[in-house]
Amino acid sequence: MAISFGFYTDAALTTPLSASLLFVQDVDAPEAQDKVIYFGSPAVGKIVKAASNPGVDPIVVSVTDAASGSGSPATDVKLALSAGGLSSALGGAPLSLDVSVLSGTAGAKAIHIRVLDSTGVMANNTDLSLTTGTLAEFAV
Amino acid sequence: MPAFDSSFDSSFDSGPVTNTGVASAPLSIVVAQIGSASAGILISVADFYEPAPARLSVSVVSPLVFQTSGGHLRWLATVVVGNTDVSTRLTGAISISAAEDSARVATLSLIPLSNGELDAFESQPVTIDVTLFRPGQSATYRRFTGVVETVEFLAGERVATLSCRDGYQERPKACGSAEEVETLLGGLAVPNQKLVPWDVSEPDPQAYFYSLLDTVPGCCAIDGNGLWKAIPWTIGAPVSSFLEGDVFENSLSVQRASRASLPSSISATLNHRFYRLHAVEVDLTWQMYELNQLLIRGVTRPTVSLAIEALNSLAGWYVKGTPTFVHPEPGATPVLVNGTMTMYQISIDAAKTVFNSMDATLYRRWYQECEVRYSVTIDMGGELGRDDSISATIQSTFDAGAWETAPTAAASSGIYTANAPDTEVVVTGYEGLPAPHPPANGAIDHFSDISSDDIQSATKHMVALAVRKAASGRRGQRVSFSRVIDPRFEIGSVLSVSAYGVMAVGQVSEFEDTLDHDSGDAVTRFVLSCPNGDGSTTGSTSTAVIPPPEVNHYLLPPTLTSFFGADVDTEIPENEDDLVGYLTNTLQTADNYSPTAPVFQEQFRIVMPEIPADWRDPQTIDSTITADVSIAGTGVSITF
Repeated sequence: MAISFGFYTDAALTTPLSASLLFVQDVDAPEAQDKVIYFGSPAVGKIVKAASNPGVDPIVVSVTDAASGSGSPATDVKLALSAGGLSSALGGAPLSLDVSVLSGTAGAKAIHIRVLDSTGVMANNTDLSLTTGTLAEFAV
Repeated sequence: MPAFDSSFDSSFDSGPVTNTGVASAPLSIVVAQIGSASAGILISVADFYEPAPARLSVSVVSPLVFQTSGGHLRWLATVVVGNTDVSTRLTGAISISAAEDSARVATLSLIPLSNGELDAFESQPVTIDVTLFRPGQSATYRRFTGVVETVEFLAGERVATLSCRDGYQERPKACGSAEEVETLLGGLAVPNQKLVPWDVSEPDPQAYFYSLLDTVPGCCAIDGNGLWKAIPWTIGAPVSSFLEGDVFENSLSVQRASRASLPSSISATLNHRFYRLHAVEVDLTWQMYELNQLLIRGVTRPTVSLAIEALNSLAGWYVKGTPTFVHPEPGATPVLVNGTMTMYQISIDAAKTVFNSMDATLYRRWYQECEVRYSVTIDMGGELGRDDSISATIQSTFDAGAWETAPTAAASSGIYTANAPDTEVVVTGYEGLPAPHPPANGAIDHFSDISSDDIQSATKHMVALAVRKAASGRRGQRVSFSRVIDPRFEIGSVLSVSAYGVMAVGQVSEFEDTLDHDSGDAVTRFVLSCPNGDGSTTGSTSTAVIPPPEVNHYLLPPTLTSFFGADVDTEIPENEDDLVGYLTNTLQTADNYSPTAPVFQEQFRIVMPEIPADWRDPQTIDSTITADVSIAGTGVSITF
């Protein structure tokens, strides 16, 4: 079976998020910047579950820091399933989507991302990413 | 690991059953048992993989890099095509253009490494970042995310020019439902399934998108990160202000709104067509003439069947319930004839066929085509005498013809004179007629499949169309200027400029970045829409006034009497329609007989009043839409 689930820039799942998602922060007076991406699949008749325990464990989106101790820390990133949820989200905390995600636009999950720089250092930091871990994709 | 059959417990163990690589790594397959062993084993096969991560970049910038104080500014364009950073092979100019409700386009030139790379460029994803440097300061912005559309290779120069575009047109096309399209428009649209329906059988999301876009007091665009934005036309406090030193000399220009886009006013009209259903009742009464006329003139008396025939022959009129006939008492009745008392005899059977008086209520129902025009006018302040208008029509679906002419289930009884069998019809007065039932001598406006909420929603849609049209026209007033490359601002950003006698606050509706590797120029040209508005937001609220049917019918009933023809006293009314009631003739042998007087066709004649034209002919009713409209903007002032 072809791999189909991933991150997309739009709710209609037309454009995969292939480039990095850039957040701009003022070094002297940073303000939180929010963006929304979508996790899903445009394929027909697919469902994805966490490989650790399909249908039981939730699919989790985690903030991964490839260069811990340098660049931007993971705690600068908050994740939520809604814009309102960002206020109460913990910096760096993973986000549980669901125990399964169906393909198609109706099944796509919106992931709200908030970035607020804490370093106070001018730079273009590319060490952060959102990962899901291993998933198991089934036909419905 | 445990298996479906314990004898196979160790058979499938080959280490952890996971694949933590990317999609290109070997996959393992898990055989999972579904259902009970006694029912057999179903196999579900899964692919294990980890989706490509969503990479985040955090650009911590110094806003000082955008100051136009003395010094120098260095810039660097970082272009990634597919997974390859081609920044070191860029040549010529990079151009990035964006506008409201349009795709963002970019062109760039680079030196391809091989024929294979050249052929592989098309449809590759592209990102363009701009990094600016001043001593001690830097800033990186993403200015374009899209795909390569076309590639042109200049063989003599060995340079490939890539034309790139974001996916603006593709997004609406990919929508599979009306809700998805409306979500793209950020909830700013005013959908209405009566005026702009979503066709479930043959969906056309692109057409639906553009129809709804016409109601949006804002625009749509894809930003530099490739994220779709629905941007309201809101002009509040500017996020940045530019003075003369911040813009290139001779670059600032003011363009007034074109004459064509600025009429005197814009009116929006919603026409609602429906049927007004009328009902009228008329009471008929007839009283027998003096009994002695039967003997003096030898005239006959009307029969019940004659009266019933007359009642049932009235086109468009129905008897409500059954008419009431008062029959004469059978036997002998003394009658005074010329001073002599004479007995008038009538048998039992004959008495049942004639009547002394009749009371009947006739009713009629009819439909009238009506159209209510809900309208609102938005003043544009443009050229006098030239108005613009938009209109749409919704129609209530109803078979008015069938409603008007449907036969009754139990018409007036003309069959039995006595001992009529019981029927199961519940006597309501309008037996067997289909609903709805207008009030007697009144009318109802039957909207059928269109509710009052539908009308309110449709008028909001029309007002939104007019508001966007008006706002678009006024936003034709623009201020444009160029300055050093400034990737901070996107479509929708509110900026102000005060330079060369021009003061304006507007919303970025277009911009163009140019980064020239040959000359070193790095320029952004901004176009600000600066409408003459009346607030900081663009939008409307509206309410339609649905007029009630003010109908009160009163039709004068005909006066039913009796007329004797062939008589010396025969009188014909001036208006022949007044010759109603029982028409009979004096016997030839009677003293009053006149051979020259008019002779009637014996009948029970009824002429019902006409329905006035006002309640019959198609009618147009004007009603108002109460609307509050605001267009964001403070205009442009120029000082000479």
